[in-house]
Amino acid sequence: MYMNNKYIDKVKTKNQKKELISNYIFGLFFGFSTTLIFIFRLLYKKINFLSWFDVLFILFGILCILLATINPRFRLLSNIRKKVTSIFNFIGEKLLDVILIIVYIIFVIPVGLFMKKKILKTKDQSSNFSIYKKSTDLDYNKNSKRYSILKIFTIFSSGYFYMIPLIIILIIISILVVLISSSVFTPLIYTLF
Amino acid sequence: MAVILGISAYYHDSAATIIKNGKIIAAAQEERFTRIKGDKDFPINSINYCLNEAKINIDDIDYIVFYENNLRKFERIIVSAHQNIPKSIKTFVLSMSKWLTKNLWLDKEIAKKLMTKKKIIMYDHHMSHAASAFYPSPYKEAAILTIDGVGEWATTTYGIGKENKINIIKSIDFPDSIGLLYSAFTSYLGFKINFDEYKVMGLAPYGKPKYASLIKEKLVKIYPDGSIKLNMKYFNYTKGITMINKDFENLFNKKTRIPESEITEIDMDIAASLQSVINEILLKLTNHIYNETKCKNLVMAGGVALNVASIGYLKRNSKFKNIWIQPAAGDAGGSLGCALAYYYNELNNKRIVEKSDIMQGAFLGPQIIKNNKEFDNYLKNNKVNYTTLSDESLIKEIVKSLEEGKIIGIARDRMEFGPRALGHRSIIADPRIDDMQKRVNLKIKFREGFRPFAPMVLNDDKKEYFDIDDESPYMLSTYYVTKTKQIPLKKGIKGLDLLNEKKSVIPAVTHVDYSSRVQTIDKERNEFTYNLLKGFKKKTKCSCLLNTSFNVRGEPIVCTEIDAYNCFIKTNMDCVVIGNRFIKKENQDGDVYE
Repeated sequence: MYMNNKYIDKVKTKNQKKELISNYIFGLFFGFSTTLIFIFRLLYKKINFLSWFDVLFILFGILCILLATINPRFRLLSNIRKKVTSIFNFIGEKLLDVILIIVYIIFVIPVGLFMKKKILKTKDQSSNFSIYKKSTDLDYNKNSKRYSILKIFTIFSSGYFYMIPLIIILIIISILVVLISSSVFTPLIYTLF
Repeated sequence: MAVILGISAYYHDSAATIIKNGKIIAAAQEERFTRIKGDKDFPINSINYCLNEAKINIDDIDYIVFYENNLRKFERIIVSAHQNIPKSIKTFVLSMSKWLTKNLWLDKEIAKKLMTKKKIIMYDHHMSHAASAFYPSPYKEAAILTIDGVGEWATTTYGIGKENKINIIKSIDFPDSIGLLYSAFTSYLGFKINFDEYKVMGLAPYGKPKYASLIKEKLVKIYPDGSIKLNMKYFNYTKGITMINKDFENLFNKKTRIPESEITEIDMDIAASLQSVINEILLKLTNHIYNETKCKNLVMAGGVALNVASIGYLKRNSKFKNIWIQPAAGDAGGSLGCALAYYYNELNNKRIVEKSDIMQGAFLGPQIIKNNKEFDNYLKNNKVNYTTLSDESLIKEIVKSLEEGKIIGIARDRMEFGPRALGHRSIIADPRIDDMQKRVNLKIKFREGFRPFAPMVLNDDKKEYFDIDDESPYMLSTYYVTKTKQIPLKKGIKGLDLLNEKKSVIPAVTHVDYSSRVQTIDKERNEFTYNLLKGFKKKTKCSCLLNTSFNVRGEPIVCTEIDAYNCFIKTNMDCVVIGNRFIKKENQDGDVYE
């Protein structure tokens, strides 16, 4: 095995801790919010046959709270959390597509039209070679503490500065998506959402 | 001392390489371990193997280098989306969902997978190719040419390598790409892009280049210096998810061929025309590079460098005296290239050039060891009858079986790195038998009948069979069978009917145009195969064997003993050599094959 045993144990412990906290937070917050929302619905609307639907959700919320408080390690709670998260992930993916379409319409189309109107440099008619620009000009030799993603601005500044607003938006979306999908607070974020 | 791990992944052909002080310790493609052809996932198994082979831990690695710069690639995708509004919306949405969730953070992802806090160095794609071509080559100074589909921006680059430095001078940028032009035709002819380009190359000799002028007139402008400009009116890859559009189909008055359907004369003629155009482009390119660099040596890498027909054409016609191709010229070789590039070009280490290249015969992968008790137990548990022999006795047995017209799989020693099987993971047969090509194609490999096989020949005897002056240990160029060995074809026969005609005294390895993708065998690189050929020559007076990769269609080349055995039992192979074990199908009980 190439991996250092010390690292394997470290990662294993970290993952177990993360799972435990995720279950606890999911159980409590998802449980409380589900319970409260459906109690609120029951109190402020007519009681009819659909109320059984609300009651089921209240019971489901109470179950999550109980499991989280008694023992967050319960496999049932883990399974519920994973199922709910996967549903929200699916919705999130579709939502991301919609956001990207909107970003395309707002940012890409106007800039693209502007680029088409820009006077193109007359290219040499006897060749389609250009001077090679090495992609290793970036500062990678030093152990920089800057986020590597910031290097993207040095790339785009080389003639494509008008794309910077788009890049900022895309990076913000990317950071949000990555944070949401990897965070311990993922279930909380989805519950609030 | 510097230990460097090079990684290529996430597009196609993931691989890993470890070098120590400039020496290649191990390299392997991920597909061989996962058994998924062209596996693009993170090459964890390849990395595991490389670290084991180097007897080190991930902590002992000084530098970890990735073969391309994801941020520059991101730039290209964004700019391309802007240039192709509004049709680029689909590709923008599809690609951005992948980029925003994963690809923008590739260095973090790789570090996480390796469980390391070391910085992941994102290198340059074409520099990686250039380095994989120059640094292992036996030249102190050489012109460098890299051609593939696309890296970050560049699709073709050329430069000079001197001592330990590489300087890439010029490039052709996306969307003008020789590789993507080839891929577009590959998809049009009903084959799989990034996988089946070589099938189009194999189909070309069956046709005539009737459409070459149409291609040059409508699809690609070729400048005098070999640079190209594609007419994007006919291509769809900048806007949509397909390579070509209806205009392309209308040009040839033919719809895209449905995969596995019958191959028509038009398909063959299109393949021939494409090959002719590619040859013309490459010849102009190389001659321009020669005039610019004044070097007598040329080294090449990038997927297009695996077009052996073009390489053979260049060897016969270009101004360069020597042409050396990286055996793993595709993206897998990028893992080797980025590691070498960082060691020499960035860390400025001294480069010692040897008479021969440093690829060690391309045998850089996992070893099949002689006394593997685990595999012996596996065979015993499965009631497989086998004999363990010394090398000398093994050679005698193999030669005897070959003389009887049997088809034999060979899996021993270290596995090859790159797409070619060079004797350590090969299926071999007697090339003199008339129907051997058909037998191997249909009953062993289960592949298209038109595809030719390649010969391995003793380096000392190569001129007896082929018009060849240089060595060809990696099977990366075609050569013509000598006139004395050729048999003239009957007039009027064309297309796939040519398959049934005997073309030479070694018909199984002679293509319809008398060409062959030759592998020369020498004792230093490949001792066992050398002795085998010597033994075969002693018995039959023929020092040539059919050599094809040890796998079936759709699967990667076998890696381990079990892979080799499984491939053996599910085909009509007669015998298999695994390490020093000789297994004959006729000696087995029927139950073994249930």
